[in-house]
Amino acid sequence: MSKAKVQTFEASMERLEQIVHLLEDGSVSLEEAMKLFQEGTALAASCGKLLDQAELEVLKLTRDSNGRIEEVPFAHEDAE
Amino acid sequence: MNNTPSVYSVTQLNTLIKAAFDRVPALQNVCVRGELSNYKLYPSGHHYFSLKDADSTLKCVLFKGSASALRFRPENGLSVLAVGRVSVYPRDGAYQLYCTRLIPDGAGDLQLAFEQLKQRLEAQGMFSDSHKRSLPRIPHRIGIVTSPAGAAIHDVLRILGKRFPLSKVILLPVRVQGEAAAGEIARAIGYANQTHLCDLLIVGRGGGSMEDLWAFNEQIVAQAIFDSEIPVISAVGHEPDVTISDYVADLRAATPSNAAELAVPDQVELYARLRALEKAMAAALRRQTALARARLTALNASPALHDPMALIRERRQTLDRMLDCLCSAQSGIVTGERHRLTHLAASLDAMSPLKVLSRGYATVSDASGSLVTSAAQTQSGMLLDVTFQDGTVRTKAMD
Repeated sequence: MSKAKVQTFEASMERLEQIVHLLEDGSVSLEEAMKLFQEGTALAASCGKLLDQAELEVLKLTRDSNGRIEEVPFAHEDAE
Repeated sequence: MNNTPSVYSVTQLNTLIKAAFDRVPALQNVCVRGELSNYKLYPSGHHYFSLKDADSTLKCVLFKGSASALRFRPENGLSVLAVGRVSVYPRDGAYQLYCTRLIPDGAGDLQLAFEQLKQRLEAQGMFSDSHKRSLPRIPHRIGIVTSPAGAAIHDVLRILGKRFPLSKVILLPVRVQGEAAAGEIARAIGYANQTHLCDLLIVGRGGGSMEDLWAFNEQIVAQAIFDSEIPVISAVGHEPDVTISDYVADLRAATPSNAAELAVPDQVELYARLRALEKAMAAALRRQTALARARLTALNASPALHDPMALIRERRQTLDRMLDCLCSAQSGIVTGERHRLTHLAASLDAMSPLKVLSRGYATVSDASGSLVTSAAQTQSGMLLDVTFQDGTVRTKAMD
């Protein structure tokens, strides 16, 4: 998974927590509450999907023929 | 036999004695227990010292080549076993122990080296909590400094994959035992920092003997971990194995698997958290809608919406009441005024000149209508109007 996806996940979780807080606070209008709820439900679904579809990506540092360090996929047997 | 002693040069004699020493098999491989004293390290890299016990001392030398294998720091007063051969140094005419191995008496040399380095680094503050970095809540990229072939990497990857497969993993392959291991580990940590490779480092290996784990007790590795800007989890061996790396690292994991557990959140917990958040959200919204509904019901029940005519009826009633008041106030005023008028009329009546006339008086006025109140105002032949109670008669003054 890319760095962006972890960030997305983290940001989504934070926003979700914020939404719950806002809703529990009860200071928003009903109309706004409905909007927040919709947004929150979508965020929760996308967070779950990110986790569901994630597969550990493993790279290994090696030196190429020029002695430069490069990242190559690392085959690992943790499939279970 | 010649009784005359041979004459030797000093060198010859010393050489002879040396040869005699070197012929004694028992002296070629000895192990001596004693206490270190006069320990000196020369710029040449050779170590010179004495071993002593309560009664005697023995000169010893440890050449550079053998000294480089020392793990601990020889210190005066330390009880050691010295292994080597005894021979003569012809120049000084002194015999000494040519030491090839120096082993701390009691604890093993590795154990002693460990304690010594631990003490030294601790004194330098390298284990202090104030130097510990906090781990990222969710690491984006996890660098793993370990052997690509060892058990450790597979344990770590298995746990990471199971717990939180969103993080990217970069393996920095190194040897984890043997002479070159410490240097490679330290360089890998340095490389990760220079290139900002990751936001969390796991440094470690699977279990083994203290000898096997030794690289993680080397100062060069400790320094690299200490200098690392990237937080480091040390994961060496099994639970009871503690290395210098563990003390310097920002977090010590009991095993590589444990390091993976400490590195990332568990997706099972994350799912649970997600569900809890969704539930909380739904509950909050339900509360809010319930509140809104209650308000609506209350509003619905209010007479304004329920029976709008009531409002008008009420107003009308008020109006009527006010009208009543107004009327009664008005009639009061009228009655009062009427009384006043009657009263005034009565007063006026009492003062009317007509009343006087009715008692037999009359008024006299001239032709212009002005009252004539004195005889002096009249002349003979002047016309005068005499007004009685019931009318006026024109008369003529007769003088």
